[in-house]
Amino acid sequence: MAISETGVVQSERRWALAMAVVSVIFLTAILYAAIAQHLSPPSNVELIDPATIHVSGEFAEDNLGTRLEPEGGVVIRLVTTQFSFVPSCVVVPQDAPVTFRVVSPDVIHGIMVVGTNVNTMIVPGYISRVRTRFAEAGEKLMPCHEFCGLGHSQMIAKVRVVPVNEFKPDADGRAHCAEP
Amino acid sequence: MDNQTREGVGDPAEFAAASAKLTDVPQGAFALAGTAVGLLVIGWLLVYFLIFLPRGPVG
Repeated sequence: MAISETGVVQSERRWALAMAVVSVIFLTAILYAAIAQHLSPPSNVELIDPATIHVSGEFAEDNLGTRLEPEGGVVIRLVTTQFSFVPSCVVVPQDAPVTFRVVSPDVIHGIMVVGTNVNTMIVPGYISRVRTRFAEAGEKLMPCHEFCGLGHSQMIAKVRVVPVNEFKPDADGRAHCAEP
Repeated sequence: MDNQTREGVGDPAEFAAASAKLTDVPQGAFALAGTAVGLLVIGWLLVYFLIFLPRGPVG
């Protein structure tokens, strides 16, 4: 005797209920991360002319790198370009609010800081912004994760997280990676 | 095709045997699908709690 039509419908209902429960578990976890843990995909829409990035303004060469902001926290300004990061090493204080602001003058790049949730694409014409906080001191690698050309595999930078008492910005609020 | 029944099985005994086997099919399918989905959910939750959350805030 084959399974009855009622049995099929009943089993499909049970399976649908199981899938609904799984969906609710995933959705709850995502909402908990976003609301309680402040973990959400970086989203920022700020336009910038990729042809004049380096000439003046926020991403002029002398304004790049780590800077302690007057209102607290640290802002890191980076230019990603084929095939390097400018600057290629940044220093940040441990367990302090950090904001990355990154642009590209040429093609699409991407950054990820290994071992953290920092991960975003850098699209020419837009300023990518990622806010985070590094709980552990140490040196972390930050490779380009978006294939950007033949030198892509050589495009890598470092984020040096130092204890707060070792983070010593100059009078201008800027901090640089000390030589290892 | 001429001698086959509406179920596509010629011999009634064979048809009965096939029907008996089909009775168990949903149980096996549910066991397989349930195990696969269960492992997926467990894996997802392990990554979520052991890797994603400890890596700290981002936004």
